[in-house]
Amino acid sequence: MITLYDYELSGNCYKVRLLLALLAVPHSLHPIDFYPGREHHSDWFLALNPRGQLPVLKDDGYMLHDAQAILVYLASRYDTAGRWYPIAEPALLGSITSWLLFAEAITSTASAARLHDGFFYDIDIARCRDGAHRLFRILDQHLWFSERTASGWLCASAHPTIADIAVFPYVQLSEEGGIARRDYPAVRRWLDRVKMLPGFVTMPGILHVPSRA
Amino acid sequence: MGGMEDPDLAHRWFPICNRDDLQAMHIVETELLGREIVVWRGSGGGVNVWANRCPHRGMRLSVGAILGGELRCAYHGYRYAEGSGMCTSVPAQPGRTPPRSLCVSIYPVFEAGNLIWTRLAGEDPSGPAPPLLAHDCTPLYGLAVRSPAIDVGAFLARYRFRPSAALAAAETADELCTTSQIDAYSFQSVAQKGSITSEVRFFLQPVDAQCAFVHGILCGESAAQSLIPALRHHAERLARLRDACERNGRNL
Repeated sequence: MITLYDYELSGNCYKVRLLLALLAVPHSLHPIDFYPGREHHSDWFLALNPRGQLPVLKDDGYMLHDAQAILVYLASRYDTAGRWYPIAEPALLGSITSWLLFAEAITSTASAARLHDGFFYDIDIARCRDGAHRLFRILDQHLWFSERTASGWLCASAHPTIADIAVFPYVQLSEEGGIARRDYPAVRRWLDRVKMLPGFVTMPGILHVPSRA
Repeated sequence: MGGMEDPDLAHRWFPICNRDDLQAMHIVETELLGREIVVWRGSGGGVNVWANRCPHRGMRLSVGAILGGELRCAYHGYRYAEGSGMCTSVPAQPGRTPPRSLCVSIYPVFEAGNLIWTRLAGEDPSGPAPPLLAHDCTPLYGLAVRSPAIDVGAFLARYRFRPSAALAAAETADELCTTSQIDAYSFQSVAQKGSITSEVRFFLQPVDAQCAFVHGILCGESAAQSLIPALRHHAERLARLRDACERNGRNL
């Protein structure tokens, strides 16, 4: 049985919950009092993850931290159709990994801005917002061309991959860090495509796109 | 943002998005002259350009959802009909007809050159006409520049590009490109190499006092195999132009 050490308002925890839902994998959640309790810095949690970061995944005896790594593990193990992380396709895997690193850059800018605004972290907010806008520009142009040359997902495959799941949350939550998405129409279309995936689940601050009344 | 209430601009038609942007269930969100607007297409097929504001409690309609021919506000579920913008349903008062005064502010729509155009002053038969553009044109990748429209225009007037059919080969000295400014917000650019020519048009959308969106169209070219390299070429040149313009204005 999978246990996810989880914080409901964390985009990095949410992306793991989202993939678990899309793959329909049963799991249980162990809530961590990230704010204001700072439970992720408690002795018992640091024993799970010395870096003191969420999420952490436990699958039988196997422990894994870092959201992007957890996505790789879950898709490789539980996506029997091999569509979210196609291990037999080297070029796709390369692209996916590149976008997983892009997701980390989004975390250190857009997510950091949200920590500043919503959780009172002492962070250089102007620098975070500028950095996020630079990344969103790259993302917008990439997705505009993907709509014309591929299927409109981050990587050139007919089916979305874990790259889309990794990048999605902190882009969708960017306004909570004062980063508007008005100037990124292709990003906004892609966000709606993710939200219309069968099995999509929400988190506070992320609504779904209803397909019927 | 304020400071853009020039009455002449309110009577002018501006492009606000591509036709391709209007995908099923998707609400396009933008600004024109500092006014927030949404653009969407319902089951009736017509394009709606509305103020991004629910008349009930002022919630942004862009957070809502398209349900058939109606847009539903995310806050209290009020629904507004495509075309008229009239409220059709108030969930907290089932069975009661919503008052006629409960209506979204709507703007006129014009489609030309695969772009969606509107004007803030509303219907105005005596106002300036929208541009006439052929249908056989392809939207370029459009981008926002964080500079006032007038400054973006000054950079666009210096736009240079290469003809689509010449892109596969290295640039040669006999290639020419000229850009002419049609008016403060529209530009025509022609590139030539021997008998090969390509033409693009640019139209500026003054988003607010500090930002302009560049809408470009590639005229009369639809050969699919040469299209993507041409689109990439223009995206690269436009990004360079944007960066130079913003550096000049010390934005971002």
